[in-house]
Amino acid sequence: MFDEAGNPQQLTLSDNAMRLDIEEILQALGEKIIGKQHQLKLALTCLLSNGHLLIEDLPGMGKTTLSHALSQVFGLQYSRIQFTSDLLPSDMLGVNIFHTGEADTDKQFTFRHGPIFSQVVLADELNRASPKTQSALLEAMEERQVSIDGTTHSLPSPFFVIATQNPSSQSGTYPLPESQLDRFFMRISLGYPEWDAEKAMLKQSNASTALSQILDEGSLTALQKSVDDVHASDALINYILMLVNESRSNSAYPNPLSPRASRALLQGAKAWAFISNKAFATPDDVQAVFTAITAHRLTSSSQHQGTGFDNSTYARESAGETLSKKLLESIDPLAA
Amino acid sequence: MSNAAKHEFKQKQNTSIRARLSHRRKAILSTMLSRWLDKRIPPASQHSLTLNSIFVLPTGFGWSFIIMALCLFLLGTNYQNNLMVLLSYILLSVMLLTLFYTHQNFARLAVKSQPIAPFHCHQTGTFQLAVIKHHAQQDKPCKGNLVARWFDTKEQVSFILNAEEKSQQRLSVPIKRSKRGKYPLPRLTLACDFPLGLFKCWTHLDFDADILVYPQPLQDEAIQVALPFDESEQSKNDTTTSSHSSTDFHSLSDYKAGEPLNRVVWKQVAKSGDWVVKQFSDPINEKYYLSVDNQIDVERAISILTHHVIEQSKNGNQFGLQYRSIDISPHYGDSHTHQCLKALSLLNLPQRTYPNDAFSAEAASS
Amino acid sequence: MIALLKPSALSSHQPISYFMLAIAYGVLLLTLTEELMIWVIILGLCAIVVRTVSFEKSSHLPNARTVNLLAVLSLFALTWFGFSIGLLNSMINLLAIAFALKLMLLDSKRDFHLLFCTSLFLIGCGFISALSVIAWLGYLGVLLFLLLSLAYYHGPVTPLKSSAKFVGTLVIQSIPIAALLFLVMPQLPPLWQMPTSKSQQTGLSDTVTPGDIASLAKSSELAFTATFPSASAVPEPQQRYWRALVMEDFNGKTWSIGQKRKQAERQLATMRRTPPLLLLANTAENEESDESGISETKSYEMIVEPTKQNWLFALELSAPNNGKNNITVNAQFDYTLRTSTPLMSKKSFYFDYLPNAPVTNPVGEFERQLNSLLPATSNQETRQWVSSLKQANPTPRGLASAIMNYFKQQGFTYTLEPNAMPVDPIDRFIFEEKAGFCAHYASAMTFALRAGGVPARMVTGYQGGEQLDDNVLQVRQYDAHAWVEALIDDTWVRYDPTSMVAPSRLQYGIEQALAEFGEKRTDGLLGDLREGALFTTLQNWMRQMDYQWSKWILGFDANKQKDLLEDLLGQITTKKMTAVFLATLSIVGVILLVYFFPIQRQSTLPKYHRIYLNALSAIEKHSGVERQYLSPREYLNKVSSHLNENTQKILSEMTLLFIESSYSREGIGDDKAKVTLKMKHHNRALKKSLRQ
Repeated sequence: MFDEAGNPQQLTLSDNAMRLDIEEILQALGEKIIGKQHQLKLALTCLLSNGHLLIEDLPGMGKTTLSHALSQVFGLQYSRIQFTSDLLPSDMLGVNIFHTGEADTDKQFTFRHGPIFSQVVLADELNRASPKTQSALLEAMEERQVSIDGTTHSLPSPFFVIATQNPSSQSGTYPLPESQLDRFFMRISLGYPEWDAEKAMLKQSNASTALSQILDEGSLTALQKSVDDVHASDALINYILMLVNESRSNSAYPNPLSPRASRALLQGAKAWAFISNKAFATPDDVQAVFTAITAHRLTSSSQHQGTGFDNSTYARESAGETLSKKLLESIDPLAA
Repeated sequence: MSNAAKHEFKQKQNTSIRARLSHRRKAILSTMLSRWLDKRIPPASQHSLTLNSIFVLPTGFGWSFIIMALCLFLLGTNYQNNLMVLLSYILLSVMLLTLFYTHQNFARLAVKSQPIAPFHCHQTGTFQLAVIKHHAQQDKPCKGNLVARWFDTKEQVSFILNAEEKSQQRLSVPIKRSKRGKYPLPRLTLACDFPLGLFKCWTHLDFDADILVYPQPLQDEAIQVALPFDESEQSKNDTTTSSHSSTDFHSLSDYKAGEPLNRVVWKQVAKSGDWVVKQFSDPINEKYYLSVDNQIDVERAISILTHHVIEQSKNGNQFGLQYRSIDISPHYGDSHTHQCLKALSLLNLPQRTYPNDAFSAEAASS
Repeated sequence: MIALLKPSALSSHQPISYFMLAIAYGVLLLTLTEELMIWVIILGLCAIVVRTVSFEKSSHLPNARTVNLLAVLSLFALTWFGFSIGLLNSMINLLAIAFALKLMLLDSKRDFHLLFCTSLFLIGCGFISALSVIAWLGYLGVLLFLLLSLAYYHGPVTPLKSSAKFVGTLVIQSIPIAALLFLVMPQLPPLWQMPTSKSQQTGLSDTVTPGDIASLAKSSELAFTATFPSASAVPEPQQRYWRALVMEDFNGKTWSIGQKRKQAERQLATMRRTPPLLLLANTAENEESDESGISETKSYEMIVEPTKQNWLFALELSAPNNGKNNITVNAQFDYTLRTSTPLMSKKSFYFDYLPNAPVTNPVGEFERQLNSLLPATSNQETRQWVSSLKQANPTPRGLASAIMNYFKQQGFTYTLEPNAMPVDPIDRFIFEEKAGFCAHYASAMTFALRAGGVPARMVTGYQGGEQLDDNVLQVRQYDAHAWVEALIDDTWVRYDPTSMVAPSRLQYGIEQALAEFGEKRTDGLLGDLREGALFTTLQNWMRQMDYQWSKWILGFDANKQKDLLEDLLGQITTKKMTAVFLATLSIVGVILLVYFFPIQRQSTLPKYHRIYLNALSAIEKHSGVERQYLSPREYLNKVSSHLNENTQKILSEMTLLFIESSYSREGIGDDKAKVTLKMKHHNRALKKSLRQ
C-alpha cells in the first residue's frame, strides 16, 4: 500500500523502459518457476550486482530450470557443467591441443575452450567435484579469467556462475570451505513449492517450452550500470557497517563478515532497490537481501569440522540462517 | 513432682520453646532472603551482571580508609590546616569514585555454568564456570581477584581474572556433599574488590542446575555381590550385544578373503598396496548381575554396590544391577555406569524437608 | 582454547607493591625531618633496606622475635625522648617507628592495608610543617604513588602502566569533587586543643636578651603577610609598628614577660573585665557607624605563618575582628594579642586598625609599679648618668628626649654584630661599645627611664614591611624590632631609640640601615646573587604565588567562604545554604555521571531523526507493538493495523519524510530547519491523535 506511494523520486524515461523490462523478466521467470517470487528477485539481484549465485537444494527443486531460464531471458550464452568426482580442471577450463597439420605453420598448440567460456555457467552439483576442480572454478569466478600453461584467457562478459549444491547426505561429496563460500555473492535455496503453486505447475502444459529472449546482451550491462547509480546515503552505509561490526565484535559469530561481504551487502541493497523501482536504497533493501548474502558466510567452521560427511550441510545451512537472523535483529537501523 | 522440679521443667520448656522460635525465625528469614534473591537474580545457566544483581559495600579496609580521612579532617580542623582538610576531601572523593569504579568493573562480569559432573559423597566435586563476554560490555572484561564461595558455606576460593587472556577462562569451584542424592546447586557468591580493595562488590548467582551425588563406595569382601549372569538369558541377549562388540579398535591384520570390505584400511592400500583390515576387540569378558541381600542396611548395601559398579566398570565387564526397586539389565560403557550409579544415589531418598515445610509441619503439630 | 584458572590467594604483584610502599615511606621519612628524631629516620631507612634486600625472597626478613625486641627498645627510647619533643612529635615518631617495624614483617593483605592507612596519616603530618605549593604537590605525588602501589596490589595481572593510568585518572577526577567540598563544606573552628610541639616555635621569643633579635635578622623567612583593602589604606613606613609582646621584667640581662603580669592577666580574665583594646574597638565601631566610609579602609587581613605559639602581632593598635576570625583572638590588658590555640598552620586573621588610639594604663597603679622595678645592683654608671640627666630635665618627657638625643649625638652605630657584653651590659653599651642592634637600644633606654623614675617597658614585634602588591605588605623575620614604651600622663608613649641612630631603618628597612653603616645582612655569594635582576624577578614571582596560595588555600576560612558565596549568590540565607548544599550534591552527581556514563551516541543524530525516534517510541507505547530492528517502512506496515486512521496517516507521512531525508540522494539538503520543523509539527499532531 505504501511502496509505490512512498517513492517520490521520478525515474527517467530510459529507467522507465528498464523498469518495464524487469517486470517482464520477473513475470517470465515466474511462469517457469511458480510461487518463488522472492527467490527469483534475489537471483535477479545477484545477476544485476554482477555476483555469482549458489543454490543449495535437494534434487528436483528447479535449480537447473532457474539458471536456464535466467540465461534465456537475458539472451546469454549458456553452458552447463555437471560436476562429478572425476571431473578434472582441464575438462572445465579447456586444454592446449597440438595440431598435427601438414604445414609447419599448422603444427602448433591451440587452445580448446572449455565449457566455462560462457556467459552463464551452471555448475551443477559443485560439491561432487574434487577440491582441485572446485578451486579452479572458484578462482575463475573471482578473477574472471583463466590461466592455462602460462597464457591468460579472459572469460566472456558478463560472466555469471550459478553453482548448485546438493545438501543431502550422499557419500563422495566435498563440502565447499568457507573461504570459497565467501566468493559467492549470495546463497538461496528454493525449497518445496506451495500447494497452489505446485498445482499450477502440474497443470501447466507448456512446461518444456523455452522462454523467449527479452533483453539483448548489452542491456544487462546497462542495467548493471543503473544499479550502480542507485543512491546509498551515509545513514544506510552506517547501518551496513554496524551490522558488519557487530559480527566482528561479538563472539557469537565465529566467522565474522569480511569487507567483501559488506560490499556485497551494499551492492545487493542497491540492486534490490532498483528492482523494487526505487532511486535510493533504504534499510528495507538491506534487510531483504541480508540473509541470502550473509547466511553462508556466517556459518561456523567448527560446526561441520571432523564429521567428514555431508549430512551436516543442512544443519550448517540452518545455523547460518539463524546466525544471520540474529545478527539482523541485533541492530536497529534507526540507530545509525 | 516437687514445685522446684516443676519450675525447672517449665523453665527448660521455655528455653526450648525460645530456641525453637529463634530457629523458626531464622528459617523464615532465610526463606524470605532466598525468595527475594530469586526475584532479584532469577536462576539461569548464564549470568551477565547488571545494576540489579550487584551488591556493594566498603571492605574493612574501606572503612578504615574513611576513618583515616575523617581523622585527617579533624586534625586539619584542630590545627586549622587547610591542606590536611583538602587531603581528607581528596581521600573521600577517591573513595566515592572507587565505589563507582568497583561497581563498573564488576558489572562487566558474565559467567556461564558448565555441566557439572556427578561425584561421590565425601569427595570434592568441581563446578566449572566459564567467564564469557558480557552482552552489554563487549570491549572491556572484568578484572581483578574473583572470590567464589557457596552461599551455605564459609570456605572460599579466589581466582585471578586475566583481562589479557585471549582464551576462555574457567573457574573451578570445589563443592562437597556428605549425603548421596540429587541437590539443587546452591547459590554461588562471587565477589571482587578491584581496583583498590576499598569496596567489595558481590552477587549471589543461581545457575539453575542440579548436582548428583553418588553414594560413597565401600569395600566389603565378606558380602557376595557379583552373581554370574544367567546362561539362558545370555543366549537370548547374545545376538543383540554382538553388534556392539566391534566398536573398540584393537589392531591391524592382513586381509583374508571374505572379510567385510568396510574394514579395509583404504589409506594403507593406496599408500603401499598392502591390504590391511582393522581388527576389533571384544570387550565382553564376563557378565554379572550385581545384587545384595535385602537384609543388609540400605545405605551400607548401596555403598557396597557402588564399589562393585565402579570395579566392574573399570574391568570392562558387562554387568547389571538388581537391588530393591532397581533393575538394570547387563550392559557396559560409561553411560551405563552412570545410569547404575544414578539409580543407586536416588534409591529410597528420604523426603527432603525444606525450611518452610519444616515450619508448617511444626506449626500444624503445635 | 580454555584456560582453567587455579584458585590462588597470592598476587604476583605483591613484592613490587610492598617495595613501592617502602619507597613512599622513605620519601615521607625524608620530608618529615623536622618532626622525626634522627634515630627514627635511620631505623626507618634500615627497614626499607631490609625490605628491598628481601625483594624476591621473604626468607631474608627478620623474624618476629627480633622485631618485637626492636619494638620494645624503640618504645623505651621514645618514652625517654618523648618529654623533650612534645606529645605531637612523639605521636608522629611512634607512627613512623610502628611503620618501620611492620614493614619488616609485612606479609599479609591486612598489614599492607594498615601500612597504607598509616602512610596517609604520615602525609597529613607532613602538612604540619610544610605548607607551600611545592610541598603540596610533592605530597600529592606521594599520594599518587601510594595509590598506585595499592592499585597494583589489587590488580594481580594488570600491568603497571594501566594501573598508573587508572590512578592518575582517579586522582584527577577526584580533585574537582574535593575542590567543591572544600568550597562548600563549613570551615569549622578548632574543635579542641591539640598538643603542639615545643621545639619548633619560630619567630620572636617571649624573652629578649639583647642580641636575640639580631639572630632573627639573619633569617629572611616570611613572618606574615598583611592585605589591606586598598593601596591608600597601607600605613606609611614609619607607622608600620607590628606590636607583639610587652616585656616588663628585667633581671639585669634578659627582658621577659613578668610573672606578675601573667597572674594579673589571668585574674582579670576570670573577673571578666573587658580589655581596653576591645573597648576601643567597640567605640571605634560606633564612630564608624556614624561616619561610614572610613570604616572600610581600617580593616585589614593578616596571613600569619605558623609560629606554634599563642601570641599574635598586629599594627599598633589593632583590634581583632573576632566575628571573622576562625581562631578567636583575645586582647590583653597590655594591648597584646593572644590566640586561643597555638598557630599550627598559616591562617588568616582580621583586624581593625586604630591608628591614633592611645595605649592607656587600664589597671592603674599595678602597671606603674611593675614597670618601675629595677634589679637592685647593676649598671651603676647608667643610674648615675640618668640621675644627672634627670636634674637637667625633670619632666618625664624631657628625660626621654634627652636619652634619645644622647643616642643621636654620641656617635652610636647600628650593627648586627656587636661585641659580647657579659657584665653590666647596659653600662658597657652606653659608655663603651656604643654599637648595637635595636634590642640594645630599647633595653638601654627602658633601663634608663626606669632608673629615672619613669615607668617604661620594652615592646617587641616587627617594624616595616615590603610591598608585594600595592595593598599587600610582607613582613619577614629580619624585620623583627624592639622599642620602648614610657608611661607619661597615664598613657604609654612609644619611643624608638633605634630611629635616632639609624633613621633609615624605619623608612627603608634593615638592609638600607645596615648598608649605611657598611654592613650586610647576609654574607657571601648568595647575598650577591640576590641582587641579580633575574633572581629578583624569580623571587618576586615565587612570592606572589606563595601569597595567592596562602590567601586562597591556606587562609581560606569561613569568612572567605562566606564572601565567595555572597559574591556568587548575594545575601546568604538559610534557604540559600540548603540550596547550595543540594546543588553541591547534584554537581557531584553530574560529575560522576560525566565520568561513568559517557554521552550516548544518539545525541549525534540529527534533530529530525531524534524527533522521529521519539514519535516511534510513543507509538510503541500506545500500540504495544515493538519495533525492535524493523526498518521504518516495515514497522509502519506492521503497526498500521493497531492505529486509527488519523494516526496512521500522520505516521506514514512522518516515515516518508524520514526516509526521504535520511536515505534519498537529495537527503536533507539545505532546508534542515524546514524538515525539523515539519517533523516537529507531525510529532505534535501524532501525540494529539494518540491521546484521543
